[in-house]
Amino acid sequence: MSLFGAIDVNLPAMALDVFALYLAAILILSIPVHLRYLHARPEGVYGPPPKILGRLRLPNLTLTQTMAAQATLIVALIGAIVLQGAATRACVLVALLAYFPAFAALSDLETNRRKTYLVPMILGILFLSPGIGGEASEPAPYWPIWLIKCAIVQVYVSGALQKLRNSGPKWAGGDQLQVYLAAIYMWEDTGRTRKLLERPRLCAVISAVVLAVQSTFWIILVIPQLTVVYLFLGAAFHVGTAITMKIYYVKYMAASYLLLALVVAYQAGLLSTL
Amino acid sequence: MAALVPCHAVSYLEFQSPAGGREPPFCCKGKHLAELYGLFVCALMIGVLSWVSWRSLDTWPLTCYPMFSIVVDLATLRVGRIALVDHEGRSDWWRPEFNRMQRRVYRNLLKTGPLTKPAADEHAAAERTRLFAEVLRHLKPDQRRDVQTLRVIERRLELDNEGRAHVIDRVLCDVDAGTVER
Repeated sequence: MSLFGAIDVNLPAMALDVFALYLAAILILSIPVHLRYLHARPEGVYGPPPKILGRLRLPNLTLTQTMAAQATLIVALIGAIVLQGAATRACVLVALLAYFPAFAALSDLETNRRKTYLVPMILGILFLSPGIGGEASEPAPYWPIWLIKCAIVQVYVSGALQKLRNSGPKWAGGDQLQVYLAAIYMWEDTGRTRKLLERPRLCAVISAVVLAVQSTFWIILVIPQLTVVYLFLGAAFHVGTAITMKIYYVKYMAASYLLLALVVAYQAGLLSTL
Repeated sequence: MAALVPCHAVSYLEFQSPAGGREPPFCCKGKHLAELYGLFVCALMIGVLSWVSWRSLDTWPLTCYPMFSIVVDLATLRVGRIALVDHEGRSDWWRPEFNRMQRRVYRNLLKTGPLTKPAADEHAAAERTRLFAEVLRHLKPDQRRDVQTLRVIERRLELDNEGRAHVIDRVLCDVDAGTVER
């Protein structure tokens, strides 16, 4: 399969449908928690929202303005699914632009900080993808899907790079994981966290596996058959951090993982019958 | 012509395609243009992602994902929490619905100077009062009614010879909730 050549199904269009459907659903389900968070006026504690790319600060948005941006994002995502042709691409652009005001005031929420960052990345890739407004059965190039995999790979490989840069390979010894678990235990009093931090050998094994998986995640770009293996390893990692550390990457990362699952389904020949 | 693939140079510019982008024409030149376009977008995106990772940039929405990479020593690790003390002296931890809020309040309190001492100046004192008022504002109505004192506690953790964790708490300061509300 050539990276820049066409494949027999329109994988970018399917990816857009899957991604937009999941994201729209999760945003609708998150409305109550987002409303509670915004009602708490968190800016008094967290300060102003972050600057886009560290440079462009959005104005402080009110609850109504933030929820209006969220509604725009949801409608644009649904529009991207149901509309065809150029209208699809226009909806993706609107969704991409609406992401920033929709999440600016919510960026410090536990489920959002760094967890939603793949959303604009993937919307941007899909916006630039040929064929997203076409039928699923139309031929389309594979590179947008490969590029989405690159964006997902960066999450893990960069995470490994930062660990190795600061601690070297000894990060895999488990001491750092134990310290972070200690901090989380003191904040949260969670028994599961305590049980894990009191087992240094288990911490070492988990650290070694995490570092090994993160630093080799790029392999799915060159050996696509391994995508299914890393899909399960990555999902297990995020479920593990949610259970032991109350770090909730699953909610938004699941949208990206669905795209990896779509790639796996394509590789297994499950999509060619469409 | 049968061996040629659809011209994606046209299909990606669906806005301009007379056919609405649904049935792009077949052509050799377009195929090369489409491949060049793909190559350009891939190179650009990979360049940006690599740059962010290599330079350890942490912005929104481009980040190097630095979680758990900063080296921390257990011996020097300190965590701050706030306890709510009622009229009878019973205390319970403040557990805000959004758990990062407590960490951020403590971090902001530390910026006002050592909490075991009075604030160094009026600005620091005002900031402390503001932050404690934020804590009170985030309490549930029944908690807010009962709370007499906000107690800032610094926590550290030690592992004994058998690997069991022991948390050692130190009270940094007590703040009268009534004073804060006034």
